[in-house]
Amino acid sequence: MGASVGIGALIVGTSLLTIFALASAAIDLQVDEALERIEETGDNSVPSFAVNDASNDVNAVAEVTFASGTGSGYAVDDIISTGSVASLSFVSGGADYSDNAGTGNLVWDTGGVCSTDPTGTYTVSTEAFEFTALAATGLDGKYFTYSSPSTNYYVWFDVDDNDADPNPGGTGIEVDLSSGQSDSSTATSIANEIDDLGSAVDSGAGATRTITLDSAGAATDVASGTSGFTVSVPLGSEGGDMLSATLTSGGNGCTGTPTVDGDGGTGSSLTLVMHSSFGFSAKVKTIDGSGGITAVEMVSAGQGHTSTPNIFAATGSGGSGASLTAVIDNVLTWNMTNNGQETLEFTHIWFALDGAEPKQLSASTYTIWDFPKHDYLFPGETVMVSYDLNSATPSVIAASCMGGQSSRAVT
Amino acid sequence: MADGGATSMIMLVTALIISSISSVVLINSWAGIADVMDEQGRKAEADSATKVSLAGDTMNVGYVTGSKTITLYFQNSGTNTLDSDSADMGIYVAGEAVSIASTTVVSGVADWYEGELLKVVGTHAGAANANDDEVMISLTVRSLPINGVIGSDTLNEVVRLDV
Repeated sequence: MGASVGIGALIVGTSLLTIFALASAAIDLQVDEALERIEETGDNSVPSFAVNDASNDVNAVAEVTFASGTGSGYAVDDIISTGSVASLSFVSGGADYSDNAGTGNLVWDTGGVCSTDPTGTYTVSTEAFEFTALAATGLDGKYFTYSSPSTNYYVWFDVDDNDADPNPGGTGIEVDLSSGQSDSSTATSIANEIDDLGSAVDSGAGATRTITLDSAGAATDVASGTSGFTVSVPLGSEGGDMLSATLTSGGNGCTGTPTVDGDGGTGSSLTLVMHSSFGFSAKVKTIDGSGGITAVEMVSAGQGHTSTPNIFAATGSGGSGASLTAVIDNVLTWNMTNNGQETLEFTHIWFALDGAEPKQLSASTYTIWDFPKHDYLFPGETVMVSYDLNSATPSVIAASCMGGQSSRAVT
Repeated sequence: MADGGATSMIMLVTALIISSISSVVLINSWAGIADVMDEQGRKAEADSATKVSLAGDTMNVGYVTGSKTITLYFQNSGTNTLDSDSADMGIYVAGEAVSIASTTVVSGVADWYEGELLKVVGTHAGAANANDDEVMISLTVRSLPINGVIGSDTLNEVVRLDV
């Protein structure tokens, strides 16, 4: 009986211990899990980042749109640049210029620098000269010479209709005179003939007349020939001096600064300012099956464009025909560095300008810009952000992300 | 001997009963403690995932002196979706309660998800503030319930008003 009781007690006691142990283990596990949860809640780190700099690029290229046609034959990453002449300044005029066959078009020497030459016009002075005639008696067969920009003339005198053409060369203008005509009468006869045949008009009265050529441009100066007349080109009446120059179109595709001048002369000083010097840069992002440009990606907005520049896609890949238009606006550019230990998600970053409603940093919002290419900003990584301000000029940018904040004055 | 065996049996059974009852009581007690710890853990976990932070330009917080209207932006900087209902949050400006006129998720999404900004416009009681005043903003928010557990967070930060 005693042995039976002992064995029974041993069995029951062992069973109770087993149940107790199992229950205790389950409770320990539950407690461990709870403690783990509580411990995990201790992680309250805040992202650390800094807006390194922020600049308002005034009058930058904020956007590139398609004016008409996307062209064909382009390749992804083909460079898009302004590459055109922004302005032309007339400094000094030089001499001996023609009016470029009546067109007044400037002559560009791009030497392959521009895919499409700029265009512009200039004006040149018109020559005028004076002569002081003598009385008709004694002028038999004598002459004097002058030139228009295109024709050399000689003016000869047939007194009493019995003199021969001296024919010194050029186009002759015969002036019929009668013996006894006074110097002023002779001058009138000469002026009338030049008016009719000599590509010029006269002015003045008496023996001294002023002849102004019809066409602008350089001309050989008047010479007295055998006439004995006093002839001269008054100061400031030389033809062929460049007076002004105007840019009509800036051209495009210029990879350098072309040279420009008038036709035929020398010594002018014209200064060109290129749009491409303002730092704009973009590239072809996507193309269609024929190489037409379907999307453009901005790389650098540049700044300081005083007028809308012409822009073009490089033709190095064989592309042509794309017509692009630049949209000029103020562009905010800022750099942000993740200087903490946590990876930041771009969509969690918001920035406010001068206390206005914050804007979300989003790859989908700013697809035209060469940023950001990824969804996350890793520790130590810096990203440049560009934002079209339209015409706004904010003074402070404040960025915030999941409790972290950084502000910077906009310069 | 027979009496001795019966006595031993009675004592043995009594001891087993007492020890069993003691074990049950002990285990129940431990289980109760574990349940409380588990509940606290879940609440702490929910609180940990419920975070709110001030966003926007804290140096230029929009304020209208006449109407004592303030415009604030708060970011859900936790992982739980926060309750954007104005009735479920409390805001104080320099210790004065704010009557919330509107709450709007800036990006336009349906709820105040992680990373999203909530625009809060409200008017506060008490004296009006002036331009460049620096005031303490206090905000208490709570999360939407997850498995029946609601987290909460409180924010206290100084901002500069821009009238």
